[in-house]
Parts: sequence; structure tokens; C-alpha cells
Amino acid sequence: MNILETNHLTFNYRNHSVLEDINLKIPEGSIYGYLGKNGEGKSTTIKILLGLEQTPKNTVFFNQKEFHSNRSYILQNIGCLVEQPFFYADLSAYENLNYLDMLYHCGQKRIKEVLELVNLTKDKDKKVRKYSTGMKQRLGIAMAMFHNPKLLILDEPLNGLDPQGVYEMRELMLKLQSEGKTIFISGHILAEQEKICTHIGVLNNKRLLFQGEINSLLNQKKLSYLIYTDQPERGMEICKEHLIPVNRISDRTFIIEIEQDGSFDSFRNLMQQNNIQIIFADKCQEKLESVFLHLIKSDL
Amino acid sequence: MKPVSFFTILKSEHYKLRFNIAIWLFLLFPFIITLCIDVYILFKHADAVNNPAITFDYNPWVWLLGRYIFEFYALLYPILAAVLSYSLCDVEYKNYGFRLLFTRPMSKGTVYSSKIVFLLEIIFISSLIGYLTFLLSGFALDKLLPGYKFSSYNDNILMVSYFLYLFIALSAVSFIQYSLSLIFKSFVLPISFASLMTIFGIIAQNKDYIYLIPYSTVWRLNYCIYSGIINFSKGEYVNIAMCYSLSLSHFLYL
Repeated sequence: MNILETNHLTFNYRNHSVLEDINLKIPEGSIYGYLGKNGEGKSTTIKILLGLEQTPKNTVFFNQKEFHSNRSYILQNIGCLVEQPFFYADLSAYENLNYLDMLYHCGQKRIKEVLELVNLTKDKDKKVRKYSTGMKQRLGIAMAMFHNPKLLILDEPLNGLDPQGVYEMRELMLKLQSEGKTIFISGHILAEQEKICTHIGVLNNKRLLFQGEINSLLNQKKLSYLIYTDQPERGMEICKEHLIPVNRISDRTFIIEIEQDGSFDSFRNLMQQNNIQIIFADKCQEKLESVFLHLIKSDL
Repeated sequence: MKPVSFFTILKSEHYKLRFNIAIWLFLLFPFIITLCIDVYILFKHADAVNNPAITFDYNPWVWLLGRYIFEFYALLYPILAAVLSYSLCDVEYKNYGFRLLFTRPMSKGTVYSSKIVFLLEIIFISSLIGYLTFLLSGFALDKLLPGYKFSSYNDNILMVSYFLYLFIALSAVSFIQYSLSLIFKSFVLPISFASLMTIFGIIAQNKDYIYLIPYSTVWRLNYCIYSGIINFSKGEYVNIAMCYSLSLSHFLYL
């Protein structure tokens, strides 16, 4: 079941088209990575999902409830971190969460829980303006998830974080997913998205170019295998005869590209029939980055 | 599910702004001014301290204590009201604008109006502190300057009226300044406007159109105190009401 959906969402800003016919489908319990180049409309989509930009009725649905008619209910169930973390820098982390407690009445126990979850219990009484970027980002997440929302919308949460901060955020997101939360992350640090996302949406030229499970996206492109053999020249000749794309890497190795996983067995058989011994074969894992660039290029 | 209620938001405003310097400055301003003026009076009239033989021929509440204090009020209160109004918006600007507040289940109208109510509360408390410190300092000076006979005059109604009208005049100024702070999102423009209008209001006291400038009303209250009758003209009431309604209607379009 999808927790959040958009239905033919189109958005114009001062007669300038920003988004065209976007049909987002975010499955419940997933980590949904929303990818796109700078200025493609990722942040605008997020603002629309949070009701910060005006859109026509019946375009955004949360748990099959229309946004405009159920604004309060929906915002109670969404936590967000848009562009910058939401907090008051002159207050401490505890005071910021206490402020939210006044709005949501979740109790002191929840403040403790959330502080522990983002590992800020030790620094809870320090003024937020004295926090490091990573600590601020973690507090932003704490404030987004304080009221125990079903969906977390995070707009580029890894911006400005050092490797340790990125690692902590990744672990936190995986932990939240294991607790049943759905997470929607926009961003362009693809290596990180690849590590945590279960689903991906690719935005390009105002349209949603791809949407689905990350594995299906990674398998869309041909698979590459690194082949180490005793007769590389002969092997490459046979590949060319059978129209298999091939590239020489070194004296005894070359790379082939084949359509899908199963066809590697036919390649192996082909080599055996020609008395070529494959000493070693390794599948080259396709990276999200190259798939993303390939998708964007092919859309031009 | 209901949105967060007005009183909850108002309560949270109190919480997050409880250490705000501008608010404390505005609250303590009448106390600090009164204290400084008391010291100045005692210094200037040192001969009369504990000396009943030296007397004061006029009403000391108005012509000794009020004369100094109210002039400071007239000049500085509108500017401080502008700083106060800006600081209520500034706390949100530091937090990347009001819009992040609207990702919470609260309506725009409730957020803006809770700040207005908070602003009125602060102005009222500050006026009340002003009134109480004025009375206390009068009683204290009565003991220290026995010949000036503070206790012989009963200007309580006049003073209550002054501080009540001060509250109304300052609330009109702060409404305008709150709107300006929301529009310009900067410190310099709204505060410069307030300073300019306060000075212009003092210069143009005798002009026919002066009732159109709420910033001048606090200064005009000084003349009222000296004449012993405090009231607003119909034009001033209409103008202040216009300031209220224009500021409130402006929030609907934000």
C-alpha cells in the first residue's frame, strides 16, 4: 500500500512550468530516494507534499486521504526536514523538544526517547547554536520525528555533514525504517542513497523519469562481467561474432556486457564449445550513479 | 484531527520567547527610565532632600517626575515597540522563516494572531510596570523630598488614563511595525521607519494631519498630561482602528 501518492501533479511558478504530470507512489515502510539534478523541482515537490505550495485539489493523497480536506490530519502524520533543520538556536535541544511537546502533547518520556535515538542526551542542555552541523542535523531529525509521524520527508539531509555525520544519519534512517517508518529523501549524493533506499524516483525535465524498486533500476542496464581467460584474443573474437559488446582491459582480461543475469550461462557454454577456459569471472556491480547518468542522458 | 489550538500556540510563544532580550528590554524599560530619573531628580534637587523648608510650587507628579519620564517614553517607546515587533518575527526568521512553522498542523492565521496577542500582552505588562514604578517612585520621592508634597496631589485617574492611552497608542504602533517586519523581513527598514516617523511626529505636532500618525500620539500625550485632560480625538480613534484592521487583514494575504 502507498502511504503517499500524487495524482497527475503539475505545478507552475509564475507561468514557468516546474513539474509536469508527476505520479509519485511511495510505498509504506520504504526508504524512497527522490533523485534529480539541481533545480529540477525536488524541493518544490517536497513543499507541495507539505502544503507549502498551493496545488489544485485531488493531486496529493496521504493514506488515500486528500491533502486539502485533511491538512491537519496529514501534517500530524508527517515529519519533515526541509532545506534546513527546524529548531530555535537560542534554545537547547531539550527546550526545542519541550516546545514541540507543548504543541503535540507527547510527554517527557518521548523527549527522552527521541534524544536517545539521535544520540543527543549528553548535549541536551547545550544551546543549539553551539552544536556542530551533524548535531544540528540530528536534532532536525529528532524534531521531525518527535510526534511519531508515519512518514518522514527529508530534503537533502546529508548536506554539510562530515563522513562520520553521514554514517550516523544513514544508521539512523535504517533504524527508523526498521521501526516501521516510511522515509522520503531527496538528494544527489547517489552513493549514499544507493546504500539505504529501497525505492527510487528519478526526476528529469520536470517529469518523473523512473519510479520503482532500486534493484529494478540497477538491473535496467546491461550487466557487465570481468572475464579472465587463457585465450583473450580468441574469446573476444567469438564475442564479436555473437554481437556481445566487449572491451579489452589487460593482457588476459576483458569485459563483456550481457542483457541479463541468466545469459551468462549461455556465454560460458559458448566459451566451452570453443575450448576457451574461463579462469575467473566477476560480475561488475552497476552503480546508481552510472544508472542515473545513463537515464538522464537517454532522456535528452 | 483538529489543528493545534490558538491557546496552545500562544503558550508555546511564551515558552520560546521567554529569554528574548527585546522583550525583557521592553518590559524593564519603564522601570529603568523611572529609576534613572529618580536618581537625576535627587541629584538635581539634593538641597531639598530631607529638608521640608524647600518646596515645589507645582504638581510634582506632572511637573517634576512626569515631565522627564514621559518625554523619554514619547521618544523611545515607539522605537522600542518597533524592536519588540521585529524580534517576534526575527525568532522565526532565524529559524529559516515562518514557513517551517506551517509544516506543523497549525493555521497561518492562528500563528500570526498568537504573536499579536503576545505583543499586546507585553505592551500591557510594560505599561503596567510603568504605572506601578511611577507611583512607587512618587511615594519614594515624597519621603525623600518632604517639601515637594507629592502626597498633597491625587492624580491617580490622570495617570491611569495616561498609561491606558499609552497602551492603545503603542499597540497601534506595534501593529504597524509587526506588519512591516513581516513584509520586509529585515531589521533596518522597519526600525528606520519607526525612528523616522517618531521624529516626524514630534516635529509635526501642530499640524492638522498629526492624528494620522500614530507614532506622534505618545508625544501628544505629554501635552495632555500638562493640561490635565487626556483624550483622543475622533480622528485618532479612527486612525488607530484603521491601523488595527489593516494589520489584521494583511495577515490574510501573507
